[in-house]
Amino acid sequence: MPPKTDHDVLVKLLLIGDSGVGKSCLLLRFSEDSFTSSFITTIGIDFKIKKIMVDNKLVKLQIWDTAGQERFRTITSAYYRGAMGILLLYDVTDEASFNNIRNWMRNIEQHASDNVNKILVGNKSDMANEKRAVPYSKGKALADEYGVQFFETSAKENINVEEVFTAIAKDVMKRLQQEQAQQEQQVQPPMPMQLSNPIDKEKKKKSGCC
Amino acid sequence: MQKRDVEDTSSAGELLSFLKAGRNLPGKIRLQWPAPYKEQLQSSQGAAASPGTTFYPHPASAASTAATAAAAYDRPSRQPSSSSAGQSPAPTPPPPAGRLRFSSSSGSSPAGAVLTPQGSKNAEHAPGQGGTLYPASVNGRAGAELSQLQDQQQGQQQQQQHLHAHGASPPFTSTSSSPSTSHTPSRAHSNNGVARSWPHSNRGSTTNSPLQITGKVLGHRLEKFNKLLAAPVVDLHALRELSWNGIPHHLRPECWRLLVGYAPADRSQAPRVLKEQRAKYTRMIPELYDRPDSERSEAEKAALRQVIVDAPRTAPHVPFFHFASVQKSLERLLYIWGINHPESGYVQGMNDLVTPFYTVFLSEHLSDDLESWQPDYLPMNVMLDVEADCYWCLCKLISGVQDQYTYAQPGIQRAVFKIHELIGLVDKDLAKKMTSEGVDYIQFAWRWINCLLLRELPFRLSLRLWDTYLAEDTQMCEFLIYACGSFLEQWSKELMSMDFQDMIMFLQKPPTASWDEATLEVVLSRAIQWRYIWDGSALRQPMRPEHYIHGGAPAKPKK
Repeated sequence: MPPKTDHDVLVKLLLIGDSGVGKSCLLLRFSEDSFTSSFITTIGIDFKIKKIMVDNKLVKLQIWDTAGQERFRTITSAYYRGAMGILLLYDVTDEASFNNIRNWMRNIEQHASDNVNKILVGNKSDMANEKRAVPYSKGKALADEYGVQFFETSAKENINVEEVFTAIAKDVMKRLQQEQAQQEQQVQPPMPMQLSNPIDKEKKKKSGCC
Repeated sequence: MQKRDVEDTSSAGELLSFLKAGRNLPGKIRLQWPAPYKEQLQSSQGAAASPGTTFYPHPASAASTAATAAAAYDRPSRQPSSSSAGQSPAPTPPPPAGRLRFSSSSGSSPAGAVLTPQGSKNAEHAPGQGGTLYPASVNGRAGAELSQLQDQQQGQQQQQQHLHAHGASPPFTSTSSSPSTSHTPSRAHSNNGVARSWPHSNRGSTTNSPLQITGKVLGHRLEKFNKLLAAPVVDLHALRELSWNGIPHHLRPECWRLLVGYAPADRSQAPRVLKEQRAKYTRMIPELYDRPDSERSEAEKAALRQVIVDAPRTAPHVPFFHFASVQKSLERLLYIWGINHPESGYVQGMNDLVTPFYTVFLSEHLSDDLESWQPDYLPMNVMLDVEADCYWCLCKLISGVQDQYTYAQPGIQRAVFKIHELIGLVDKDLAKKMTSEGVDYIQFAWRWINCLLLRELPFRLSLRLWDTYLAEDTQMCEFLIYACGSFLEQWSKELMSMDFQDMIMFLQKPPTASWDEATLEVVLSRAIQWRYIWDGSALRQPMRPEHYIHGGAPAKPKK
């Protein structure tokens, strides 16, 4: 008998981006609807859960928050593989963090599954115009280049936070449904949606294809 | 049989004294130290002994152990069973040298025991069953104290569990060690359980605080500290031994400088050396830090950016770290540290490691009430001295764990791997449970190691934790593995009923807000106990290359 679950779909997300762009703040706003300006640095990885309704389905988001510093790349990149969707964050007041998005994209290519969904997020959009270093158009252009959705958010003012997580969750679910449909077309036994966590080898075996 | 008992007791005493002499064994450890004899443990635990936990000591380590033990008895200054904490009023006299048996009988080395994970725990509650598991002194008052302490702790955990079950956040029991003490919601903690109130103001009260060493114990220990520090040349070995169990707060600055080797043991040299070192640091500021960006390399710019981002995020719930002067000072010292240590550079979390030093060295110049500290009003030269002391102490601290911060952080990977192995040895049920839930140790223990468990404890306990780390000296790196294992074991009962998600959430923020020094000391004591048991065991095996994560290489574009 399969274990009783408290959700219809499990979506595993990963937050990446330079140190200090507001990954943990964005996640805190989304998962606990709170904000603090005196946040502590993330070391290694953090983990949060949030359930949302998407297309009448109860979706459990399992979100891994990562440390931004290069030195932690060893541990954080180990989590790329299990992610179904990745949120790439930069700070609209910090051009270097925007320029680094290309490096982060390369990291995804190197470590994540090929078809992982991505979304580009420019955080701290509440900041006054004179502080802004990356205009909306620049962010949008980069997102278009990579063929991903783009949002500007503010964890502080709670702007677009819910929207960005819902958008990536929808993308992931759409892809998973398509993949499932394809597999069914190939006259293979129907595969259950992979609900396991990335390192659960036992469950991995069940859903593995090779 | 009676004769046998007597022999065992003295042998246990021998073991204790050798441990105390050879290492920095804290007084409290002895309270729960199991007897060294294999057959004794087997007879007392019978079927409970798990065959998988049989441990075969490394022959070399057993031999050196015996040698150390013998050497220990040659030193007239050692008082084998006298408690450094002054808790054992009737110390066992040193046995005659002829009673030493470690080297004479096979399987009788202290590590050569078959232990069940909870062996010592079980025995503690039934000390009389099937033979004496503990030296005589353990079954006396001190043993009862420890048992009481653990009962209290269990009570606290049960309370927390109960509250968790009802959706409430864990209680903050102020700084009291008693589970029956009413909680004070007005002093409620922030998210990560950092104390709002600095307990200096509790001086003289019965509550636990960094100053908490009350009554006779305080007097006794204080006397010992004062005596050591009054000597023209400080006996560093004795100081380490004494400091392991906590340092009276007003002596911390002095003791810490000595323990890390920043201040020389020769007291007459100390003022000169400190003055020189402080001047040396001050000279580095214009050389390395106060330079235009145009003179910095790209790597240096990135390093500076990182410390600028991190300094304001240091100890966010401790008010004085938010003063401009302190943040600037942190920025400077972390940046300079990074530049001077290019093999790792500044790594996030190092800012946390400075906080205990900063608090202690600043406490020399400010009142007891940390909440009211306003470092901005301190003279510049005082702040610079504090900064310099922090810098040199940080250098010494990190030098022992350098490879935790170099590329791919192999030190952390190895430590996490060993914590995993350790839990497999000491708590098979928990190890199995974690595996079956798919919990990977790097998911929670990475930060434990990276920040030396600092993030997992309330800030007020960080000073006490540092007392022990600094007393460990070069063995701190290894001790940390056992400390983390012991910290995990502390939650074994709770974890057994959780699924993957709950486990990860729990271990990311273990409910330590209500911990006091006594609770922390239980964890530290168990850690050192495990180290003596498992030192030289499978944990000594090198980590094989396939265990390392090789990810994290600089990203290269796909061809």
